[in-house]
Amino acid sequence: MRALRIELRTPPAAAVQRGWAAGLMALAIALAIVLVLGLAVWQGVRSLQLNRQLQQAAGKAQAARLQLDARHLPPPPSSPASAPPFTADALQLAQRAAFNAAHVLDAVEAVRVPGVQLLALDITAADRGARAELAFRDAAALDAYLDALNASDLPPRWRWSRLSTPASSTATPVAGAAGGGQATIEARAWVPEP
Amino acid sequence: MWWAGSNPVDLYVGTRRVARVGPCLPAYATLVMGPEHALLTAAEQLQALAPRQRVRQWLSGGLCRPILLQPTAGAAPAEMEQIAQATAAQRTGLAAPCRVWIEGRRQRGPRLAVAVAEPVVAALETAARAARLSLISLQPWWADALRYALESRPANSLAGLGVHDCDSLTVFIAGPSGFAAVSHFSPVLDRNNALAVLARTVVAGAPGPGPVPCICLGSELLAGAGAPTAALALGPFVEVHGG
Repeated sequence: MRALRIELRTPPAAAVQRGWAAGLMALAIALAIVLVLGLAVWQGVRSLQLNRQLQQAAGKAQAARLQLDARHLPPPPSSPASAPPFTADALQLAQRAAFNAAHVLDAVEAVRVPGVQLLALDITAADRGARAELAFRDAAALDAYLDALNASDLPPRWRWSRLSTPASSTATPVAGAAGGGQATIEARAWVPEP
Repeated sequence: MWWAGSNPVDLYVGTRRVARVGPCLPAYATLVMGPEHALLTAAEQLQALAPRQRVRQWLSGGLCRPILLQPTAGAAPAEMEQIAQATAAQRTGLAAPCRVWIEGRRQRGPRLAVAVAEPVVAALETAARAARLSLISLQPWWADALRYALESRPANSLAGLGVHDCDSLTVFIAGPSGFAAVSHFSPVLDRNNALAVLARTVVAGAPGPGPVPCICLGSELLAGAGAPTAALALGPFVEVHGG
């Protein structure tokens, strides 16, 4: 045997109508939700498209602005900017001020060799060196003078750079090649940075 | 706490008795003299209820009678239903036209049908509508007694069931695919007569092993004497015999 779900009453028309009304209402709500969602999606897509177009337009405007600016820009300098005046002199002065010339002067003043006379002394701070012009009587005196200058330095700081004689004005950077007589020589010294 | 009207009121309508059981209401039962008197009394009881009250209406076996539709070879279910509709009054002894309820087509084996006179249904629905009540169901009381009997016992343990109410005895004999036989006797007014008829029907129906209880709807309040007060409609008036 089994239980029976018997129902004999007439299905109420109002209930049927209520069912239809509820169904229609649910359908309307569902349609409204779908419509709202569709509208939101469409708005989102439209916004993305507009944003993309706006970015493209902004890029084009930027490019046009750059082209316009490029037309009105002053021509670029054809040559590098010239150095300010007195730069070389100021650099030389600074190098000379930084160079310890006292050591060179002390050495030159301390050495006295007969037959050799110091005519000029040019200290070139840029080269960190010194050049001395000498008048000598003979080669032996000149060698002695150079040995005296280099007496306390090892390796020797001073060496021949140029030798000239009254008979020939060409420089001969070979020590002792002058023979006797009177000549002018230049000596160069390499002085390390103190 | 239930709010007013959420628990339905049970109104029983038979050709010999009208009863009413509901929440916050005293149980009520009265004798009536025939269907017309019963319908009038039921309408009065419905008028006494508060509007929008939910109401379950239960019909006696004398007003709502079962028919067992045996499957017929070569007949489609729809044709069987048409035949049942056409022959319900003749097979049940009710006055035509009848409203017929038939079990679903998915049931295997014999299908049960129920017939009730159309004027009875119309009168009860009109009375409920006039009292602005919510009629939530209209069915025979023996259907609820059958449900209660099946739910209160292990499955397939019953060999049959007799349901006796104010004017009839309805007997169900269990079969392998549901119901082997359904018998209806009306009028059966006395309980002892009902039990005797049930015993004879059971012997004739030759049911399988198992009890065949009889659920009786009395005219007096039986609460406290083992009656199923809550699990069955009109429970305070119900008494179970046998099984």
